[in-house]
Amino acid sequence: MWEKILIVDDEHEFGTTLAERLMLRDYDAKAIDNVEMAMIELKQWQPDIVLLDLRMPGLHGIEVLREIKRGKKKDIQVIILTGHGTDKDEQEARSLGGFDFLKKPADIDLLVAKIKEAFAEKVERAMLAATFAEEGVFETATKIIKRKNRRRVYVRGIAC
Amino acid sequence: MNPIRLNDLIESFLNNRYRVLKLKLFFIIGIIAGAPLILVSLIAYFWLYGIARDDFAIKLSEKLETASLSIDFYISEKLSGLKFLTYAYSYESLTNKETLNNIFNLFKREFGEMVDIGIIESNGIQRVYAGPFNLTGKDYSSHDWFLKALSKGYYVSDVFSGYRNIPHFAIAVKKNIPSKGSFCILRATIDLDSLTNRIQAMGLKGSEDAFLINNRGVLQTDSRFFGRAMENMDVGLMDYRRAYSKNITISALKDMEGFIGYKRLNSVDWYLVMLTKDSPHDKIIELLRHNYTLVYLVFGVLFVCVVLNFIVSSRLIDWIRTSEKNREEAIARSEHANRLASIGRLAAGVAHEINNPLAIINEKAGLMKDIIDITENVPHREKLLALIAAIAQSVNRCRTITHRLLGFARQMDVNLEMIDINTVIREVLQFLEKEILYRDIRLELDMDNGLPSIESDKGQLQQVFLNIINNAIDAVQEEGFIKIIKTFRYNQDSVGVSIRDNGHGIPADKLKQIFEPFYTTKEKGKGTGLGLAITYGIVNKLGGEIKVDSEVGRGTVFTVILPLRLVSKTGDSIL
Repeated sequence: MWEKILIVDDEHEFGTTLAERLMLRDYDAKAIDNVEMAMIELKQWQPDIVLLDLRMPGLHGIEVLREIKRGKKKDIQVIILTGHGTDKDEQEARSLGGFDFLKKPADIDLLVAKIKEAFAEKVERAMLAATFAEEGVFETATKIIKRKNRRRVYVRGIAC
Repeated sequence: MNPIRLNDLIESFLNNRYRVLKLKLFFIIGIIAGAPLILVSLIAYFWLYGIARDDFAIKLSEKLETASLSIDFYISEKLSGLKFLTYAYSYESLTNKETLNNIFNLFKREFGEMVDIGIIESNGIQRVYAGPFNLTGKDYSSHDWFLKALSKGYYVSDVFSGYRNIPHFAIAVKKNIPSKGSFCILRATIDLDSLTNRIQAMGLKGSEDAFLINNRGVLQTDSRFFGRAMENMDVGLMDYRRAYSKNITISALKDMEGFIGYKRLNSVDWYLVMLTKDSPHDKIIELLRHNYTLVYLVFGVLFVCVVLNFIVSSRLIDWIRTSEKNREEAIARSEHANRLASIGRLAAGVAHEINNPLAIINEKAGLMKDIIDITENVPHREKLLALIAAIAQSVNRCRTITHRLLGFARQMDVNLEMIDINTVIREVLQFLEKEILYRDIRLELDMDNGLPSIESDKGQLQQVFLNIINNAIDAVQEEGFIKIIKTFRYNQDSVGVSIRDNGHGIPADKLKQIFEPFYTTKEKGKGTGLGLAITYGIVNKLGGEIKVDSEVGRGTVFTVILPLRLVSKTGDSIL
């Protein structure tokens, strides 16, 4: 597998332990405990999935999500994993394109299941978009992609 | 001091306070309403008093007038008769014993009430006498009446006893005897009784008195109150100067109730005095005594007024009491709600802060388990796994608490729809069907099928009823527990659901706490103590109200009241 998972959480112990556990489950996980570093990692390392805390010093998790979805790598799946989440946060996260919203402490099996789902959806969407793109049905592809990722469609990393 | 005793004290203090207030109000209303009544009564009394007093004065003066005329006439008549005799008979005829006897008899027959008659010579010696006493030869030269008659020509004496020692008065007329160059006095005496008879003819009542008095204050007739004839009387009662005008004088008695009236007689220097010890006040009382209907009416109206006053002041105080009680209850409810909200916020804050370290424990323990899982030959493997499982279990417990705490304080979004409350209850009961069967709980439903749909959040209402019903089921151990769920129309704008059980009940002092977070009666680890707190929060959010009544040993009733329309703060329906 070796999907790349970036854990953004100011609780260093939490992030590193979770990363370790995910690695034991054959994921390529990395924990970052500050938002600035996380933004750099997002660009350089380009994870498939981000496990994002909400309340952190500096930028709030929701703002990080907004940045991700606004940037070039908007197909990165974001799962919010927070101890502070309110219903309002959850709604906002989902409306911004967050894949799911989990509360700490989360069960590892549930988390892994969500990671799998998120990754599967990411792959499926890309495949679907690629299929439609190959058949030249751009409009349909665009619609599907728009539903989650807004305006631009990427098929295998190429903007359509 | 235990709280029940304190409550009793407060209650008794309040009761006392309201009782005092009621009395004050009763008297204030009484004074306000009674003052004009008393004023009118006083005015009426003084008005009647004035009328009665005038009436007294008029009656007194009428009687005085009549009696004085009668006495004047009586005396003048005698005087004129005697004067006539002096003119009509010669000195010789008059001094003839037989002729004088005849004159006496004639005089007595025509004028009556004459005691005797006599001729007194100029030297004061009675020469001839006709009458029942033997007074011939008596010397009157030093008697006052004799001297007065000499100087004046005629004279009516005061009452005196004289030689006969019986009270009488004399009328003397001087007769000149030109042939002898001398004179004689013709004197007739009249018994006191004749005067008394005339006074009695005035028809006096027991409280009245009338008498004759001379200008020196000596009684001429007997008086009921002031003594017998010829006795001196306190002349302070009368003002002689005013009486001298010969008019009738009426004045109030000094130092006692009553009136005095007096008139100077024309024929003699006497005063006819009449007084009454009746007061106008007695007259008014007497007047009232004769008008039973009026008195009954007045007292009846007074009684009704007092009763009305009592009822009105009682009602007013009851209203004040109810309104104060309602106000206190509203304040207590609001305080309770605020307290719950504060506890909620605090709980949420704590939950947030605990979640992070909890997550670390969870992950660390998880990692330990992961490592043990993939490592072979770990010493005490089973023991370690069991320890880690216990950690995970505790973390789970904590998670349940913190997540529910957050649920309690969370800004819930309300998904409004039109729902049938009976359907919501039935759906909730479906969840609990097995539990109810298993526990052998008898369930009675009393649904009002005519209830209107309400605008509310179905999911949250389900949670509310699930919590309440579940709580009751959990609390009950014995079989045969009866539960009655009733839906009803609470008022025009709301419906109610009451959930009644015949369980062990909740003590009064615990009732206030049951909606507080973490308050639980369940065994440790079985309940978070958040169910009713969340229920309370939801019902409040849905614009409703939750009430609980309980009696230890008899059971508990939870009543949820929900508005038909969820109205926002601006007063509009939210849907």
